[in-house]
Amino acid sequence: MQLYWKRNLHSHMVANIKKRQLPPRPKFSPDWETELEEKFLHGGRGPGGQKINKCNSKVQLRHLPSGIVVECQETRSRDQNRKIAREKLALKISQWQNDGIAAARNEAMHQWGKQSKRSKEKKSREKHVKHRALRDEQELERIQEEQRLLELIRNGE
Amino acid sequence: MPRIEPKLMAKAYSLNKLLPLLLPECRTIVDAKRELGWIKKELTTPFQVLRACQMRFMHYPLQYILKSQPFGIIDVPCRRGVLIPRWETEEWTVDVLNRIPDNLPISLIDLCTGTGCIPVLIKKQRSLAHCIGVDVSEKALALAKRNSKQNGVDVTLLKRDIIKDSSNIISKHIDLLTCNPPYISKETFTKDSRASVRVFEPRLALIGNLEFYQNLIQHWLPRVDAFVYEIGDISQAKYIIAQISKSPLHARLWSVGIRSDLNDLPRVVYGFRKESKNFDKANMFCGFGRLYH
Repeated sequence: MQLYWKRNLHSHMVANIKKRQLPPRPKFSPDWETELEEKFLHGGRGPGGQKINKCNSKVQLRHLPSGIVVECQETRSRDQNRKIAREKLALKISQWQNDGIAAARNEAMHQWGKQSKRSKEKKSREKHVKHRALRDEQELERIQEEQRLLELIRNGE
Repeated sequence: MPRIEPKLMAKAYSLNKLLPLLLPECRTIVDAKRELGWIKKELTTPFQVLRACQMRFMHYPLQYILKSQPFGIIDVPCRRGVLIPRWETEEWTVDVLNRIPDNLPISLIDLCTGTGCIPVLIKKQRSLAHCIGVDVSEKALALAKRNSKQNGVDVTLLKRDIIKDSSNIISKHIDLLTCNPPYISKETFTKDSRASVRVFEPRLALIGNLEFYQNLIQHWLPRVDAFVYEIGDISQAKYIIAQISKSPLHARLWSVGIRSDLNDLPRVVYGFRKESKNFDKANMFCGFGRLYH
């Protein structure tokens, strides 16, 4: 009897992560600026200057001590791309300093992704269950109606 | 420019119906996707996005469609009839800007200012500087005015024809003269320049050869402490260096150098007085480019 009570009940609850309360992004520290190699790439040989009108700009950052390279060309503004590249680099550097273990924020983002996937699955499962219940109910009603009709016919005879 | 392969067009079409319209300008699907993202971000209705993509297919410049171009930390408004600021100009302007001491009230004049990107950016980041922009085009001046208003800075704008009369634009001594003159020669204009430039941008701001460099030597050298001129071809820089080293008066006073852009093309010819009043220009331009005189 005692043994039955000791079976492995599933008592684990996952703490939900809120998108608005993620751990902060790793900050880019100004000391790293000296260890950086910044390159702007506009690509292409041949003529430049007024002859050509390019709208994209690419920034490449290399962190010399670790050899990490990040690139950014998301926006049209070189200034903005430089800032985004530094944020990206800060995330990578914090991971590198942490012996390859992802920063708390990365971990939380990953968890959040899994969690939202789970909840989506659950919702879609529940949707099927609900629909099935509805269908069953309708079927039942139909059968009852038929039986009622049959009974009526039989009574009439 | 080689044609776009039909295979690539079909692949782009399968991803998004608008992508093939952007391919002739962007060349690759990745770049086209990025550009479509920018267009969608700045234009509101799907119809506007479609129109923009159709115009891009005709090589209409993106900056005229979105009506702006980032330049350093500012956003420069762009309109048809005024040259769009180039990344090369941004590159050297930001470098010059970082060399200007931020506690001195320096005076700066920008000739052929166009959108006014150079004086507005410098005034924005060095509020003590006194910036003047000069252009001959009515449209350019109106846009420069809009630019300074939009960025909340006070820049003096003058409508003058520099080639015809440079002598009475300004009487006082100027610390720094910048200029991005039209520098594409007529022969290379049809050969080298891209369709979007050739067809849609103003020729007044593009075609020229030595006029503005001659004008610099004749009219501006005695009145300025330093100059920075963008060039399209090494011959224009060589002309300036030759003229300065030829004249015994200038040769003694001036140092001249050339700066390349990041694609290693000569892009800027600059010069400074070896001894200047306001602050040390030789120190300011140390490491800016390579000195030739």
